[in-house]
Amino acid sequence: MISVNPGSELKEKVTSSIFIGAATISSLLLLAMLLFLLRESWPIWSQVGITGFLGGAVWRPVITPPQVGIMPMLVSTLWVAGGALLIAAPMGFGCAIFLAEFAPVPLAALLRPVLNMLTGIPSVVYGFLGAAVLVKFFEVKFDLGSGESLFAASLILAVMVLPFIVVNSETALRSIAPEYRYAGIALGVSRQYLVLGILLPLARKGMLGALALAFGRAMGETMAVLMLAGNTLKLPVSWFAKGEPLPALIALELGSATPGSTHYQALFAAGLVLVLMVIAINLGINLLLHRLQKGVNSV
Amino acid sequence: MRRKTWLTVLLVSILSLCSLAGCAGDKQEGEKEAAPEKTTASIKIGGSSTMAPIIAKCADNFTEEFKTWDKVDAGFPEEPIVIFVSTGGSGFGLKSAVDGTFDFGMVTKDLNDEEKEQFANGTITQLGSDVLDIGVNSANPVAKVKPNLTTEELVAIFSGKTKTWKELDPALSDRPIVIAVRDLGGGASEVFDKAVMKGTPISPEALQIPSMGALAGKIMDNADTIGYVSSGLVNQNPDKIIPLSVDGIAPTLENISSGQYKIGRPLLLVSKDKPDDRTQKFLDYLQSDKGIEVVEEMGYIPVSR
Amino acid sequence: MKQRAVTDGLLMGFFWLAGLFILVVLLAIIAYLIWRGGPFVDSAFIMGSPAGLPLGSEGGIFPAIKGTLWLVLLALVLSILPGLLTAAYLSEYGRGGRLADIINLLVQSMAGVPSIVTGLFVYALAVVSLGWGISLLAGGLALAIMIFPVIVVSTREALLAVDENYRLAADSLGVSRFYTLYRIILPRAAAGIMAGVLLALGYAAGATAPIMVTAAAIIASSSGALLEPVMALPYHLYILFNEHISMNQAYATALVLVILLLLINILALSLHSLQERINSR
Repeated sequence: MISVNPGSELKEKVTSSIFIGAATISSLLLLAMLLFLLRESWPIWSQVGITGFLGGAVWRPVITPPQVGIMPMLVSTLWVAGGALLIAAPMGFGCAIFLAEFAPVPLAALLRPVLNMLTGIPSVVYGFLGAAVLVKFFEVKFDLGSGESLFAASLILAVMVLPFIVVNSETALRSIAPEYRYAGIALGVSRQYLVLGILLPLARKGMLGALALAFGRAMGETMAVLMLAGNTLKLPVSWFAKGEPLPALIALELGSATPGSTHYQALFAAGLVLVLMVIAINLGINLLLHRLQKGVNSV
Repeated sequence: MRRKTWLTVLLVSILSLCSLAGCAGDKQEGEKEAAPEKTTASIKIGGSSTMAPIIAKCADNFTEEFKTWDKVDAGFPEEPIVIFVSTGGSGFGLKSAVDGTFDFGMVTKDLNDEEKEQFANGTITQLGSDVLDIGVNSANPVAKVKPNLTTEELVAIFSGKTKTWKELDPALSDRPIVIAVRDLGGGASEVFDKAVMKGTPISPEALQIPSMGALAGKIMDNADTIGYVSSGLVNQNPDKIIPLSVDGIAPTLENISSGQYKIGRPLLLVSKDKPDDRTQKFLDYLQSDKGIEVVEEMGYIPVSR
Repeated sequence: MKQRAVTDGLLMGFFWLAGLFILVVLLAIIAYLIWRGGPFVDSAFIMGSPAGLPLGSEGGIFPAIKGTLWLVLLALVLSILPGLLTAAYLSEYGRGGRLADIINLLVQSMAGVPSIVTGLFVYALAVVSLGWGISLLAGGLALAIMIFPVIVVSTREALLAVDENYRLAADSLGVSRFYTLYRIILPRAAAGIMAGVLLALGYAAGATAPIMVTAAAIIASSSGALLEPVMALPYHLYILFNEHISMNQAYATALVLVILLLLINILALSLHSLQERINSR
């Protein structure tokens, strides 16, 4: 960079330091939170150990001696979030493609605000409607004892993360250079082929990123799963069984756990595990994306 | 050159955030810098979500009736009465009362000695009891066929041994029993365990419900559900939830006052320090006839009966 | 060739279905809320305070509306500068570098922190350590932390969407990066950034768990005093249906909350389309 004014180099350094500093400090907030969680849950790690806590299948933290194993909750968390993505991804990608490529302009103009508004509906309303409507619906339609299940929770979560997937995927699709589309048209391929064969691979990075964000959101969502998953301690054996994802566990028991007790510490340990899982997912996606880095839209 | 500068920035920020996180943990050990003398007229109460509606109603009545402190007692200044009521759970209420975040913590479980220690310099006031009824949906035939359950039968149901209503009594349907309980670490669960389960674990298939209100809702919405529910809520919805008798004893007022019906938990207000004059006035109000009236209206059992 | 046409047709059908599905879901939700809650929303409801036995089964929700507005305002004030600076760093200064990747990862991971953990962290830090108590300020801080990653992600996207040529041209002219950002990129991304911020605010307005342990009360006047507890719409809704106080009031509260958020989103939308028009020039 050639600078005409000698003083401006210092100014440039200062301003960029401010930006770097702000970005760094803000993101360190995450580390502060992790340290906090670790500190609060330390006795669990030193006494019960990682495998004991993660692999333990019995959660009875208030008896003596307390048994704290969160394996069923881990399974529930992954199942519920994975299930949500399973439902939401095809719909989400389909909708993004629709909006980016095929929707007639007036319809697209209608759908975008609709998406925005869906994002705007808060999780407590989803949880409320899910509990009031969906659970009852399952009970009546399928003649179940009780309508709560991981599937019900996944369904609501899918609706909640759908807008995120759509918006981010659409942005990814739109930011592909128009040359690809021209080339496709010139070669005479159908628009559908253009999208699936050419544009999607190019937008992979953005779309995977969208999925990662959605997965993280689904894993951490509290209110909706609290009301819909059933909160049973048994290991769920199918999507339609009940379970207790980690956020529900924490929200359910934190208020009544005596601070300083093993129960309390175990809940913080569970929180730590949850956050680390999300980070692991993000790391995984990041590594994957670096391998796909050779795309033309690397930003 | 640039590396060094932002490496230092990095280090400094890590250190400062670490100390913040550390501080955050430290303060919980009870040591708190001297709480500012209560100069504002606001009273903050928080904790159990079962008690919160009762206290909130009393606070509303108190504020409506007096509006300013001088009307409560001529010696007080003419300041508006401001009372805040939050939830967060009994554990949260206990902790916050100790931290001083709340003037009173609402707790709905018996305190052990260690916990009582923490309030030795303050107050522990019982406003009443929350009796736990064994409730079923009014459409459930069990209320007519078998309105009384023995403790053994209850344990068998709640531990998951008895899986269908038919297994309980052949005159009932073959539907699965849906067990609704409160979160297993909580006060209600503890009470139920002491009084009924006595150590036998609750079935891992039981639904853990976040609050009494939601539990009542589950019973009201689902005809196969059985659960232990606050008598207050049963009394508020008499045609939707039917309480069953335990070992021949029905949860009526006489049986509860005489102590024959055993499944109950206290409604406690705890505070770390002795309340100041104004807060004491509110505490007195809660224990007076007007407070008792609210406790009863909401379906709970007041203490001075 | 026929097979291609069939596949194409099916795909097209699927894409249309996906698009319309979204529409149906939203309309269904709103319609249901209006049907169940509409009859109970009147001016007394919006302007009044909770009443009845138990408290909340009658009366209104005005303090909750005020409280939510205050919380959201505070969250905005606390998170916007760090959010913008971080996003700007990611898109302009550090793009592609190791540090930017790490920060990106950290920020995205923050989005996964369950909101109740954020609330707990702020409880220990602000409510207890710093002595703020259950207060508007603590709640605002918790919400700010919660929406920070959302603001960063959407701002970064908005900045990146600005045509790369502007940066190239500016750089070749010897203009400092800050000047480029401030005078050239930012104005062109402004509408998109504001849209993202508004959406983040909507997210904050609906959050329950973090404010439950830092700011919320069942009954409060929500006068805007920083160190006092406040009522809030999502929390009020949660209490109403969780404690089974009143389903009707719950539906009405949900309706009001959703309408409030819809208004925010409509505003965000118009900004967004403004942005689109700017970008395509």
